[in-house]
Amino acid sequence: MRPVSERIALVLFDRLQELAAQLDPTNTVVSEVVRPTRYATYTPQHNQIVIVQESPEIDAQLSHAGNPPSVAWRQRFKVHCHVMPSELDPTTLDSLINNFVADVVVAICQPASSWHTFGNLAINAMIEGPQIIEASGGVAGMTVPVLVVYRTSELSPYEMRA
Amino acid sequence: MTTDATTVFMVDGDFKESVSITYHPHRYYGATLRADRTIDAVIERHRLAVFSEDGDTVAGMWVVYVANDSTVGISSDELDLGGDAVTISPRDGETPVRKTIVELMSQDHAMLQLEVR
Repeated sequence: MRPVSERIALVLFDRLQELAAQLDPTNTVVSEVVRPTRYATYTPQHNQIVIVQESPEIDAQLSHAGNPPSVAWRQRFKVHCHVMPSELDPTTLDSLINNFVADVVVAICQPASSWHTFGNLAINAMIEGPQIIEASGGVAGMTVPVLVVYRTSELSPYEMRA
Repeated sequence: MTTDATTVFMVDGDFKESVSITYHPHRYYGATLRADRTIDAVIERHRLAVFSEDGDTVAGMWVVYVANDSTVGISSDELDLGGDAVTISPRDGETPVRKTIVELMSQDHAMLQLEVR
């Protein structure tokens, strides 16, 4: 059994892995999807997705009293979309990024009617405004923040609450 | 200076790695195919550094010096910072792994200084 936060992260990872497995040439050809280890072992690549998460916050308004109480958590995942095109590639950088981000959002929001529950683990989710990656190290791209709200038992982060 | 690049820096027992590294030129669609090749290099293994593009992610960083040469090194005009890679040992003696060249830190007619992540 894994904590709810980790199960949600795996759902997000799997949805993006499906994008990476697609062979449809109209979509961005994703090179890999990565969740970094302590000392990241991945190497920057074109059309690479790196998922990291921020510190979770408690949402007091959505938490419930009870015995034990339910705690609502707001967990933001940052989906970093790297682009590193060949110097010979005449495609504009913004165009590459726009297409990549659109494909990532579509992949995350599947299935359309229930994507926000992340497999009945969350009570809500939203895609927040993407942020440009400052290309200081040779990699450009955009970060797509995904905010997921879920509840757990106050006594056990493993126990999901509706 | 150009001669020194290959006869001083890239000589066994002086500066260069005892094992040659492999250069993997990126193959952009439609461009002339460029084959992988073995080259000599001096590798400066830096400590772990934050990979700022991914927030607080910590990753290894290497500075690789090669001759500005299309045979025994990498020539500045063939380098493609959109996918070129080298296979190097992350730590001395470790199994070599493929890492991407992310930046051309400096160059002259003799040598290139490359940032590899």
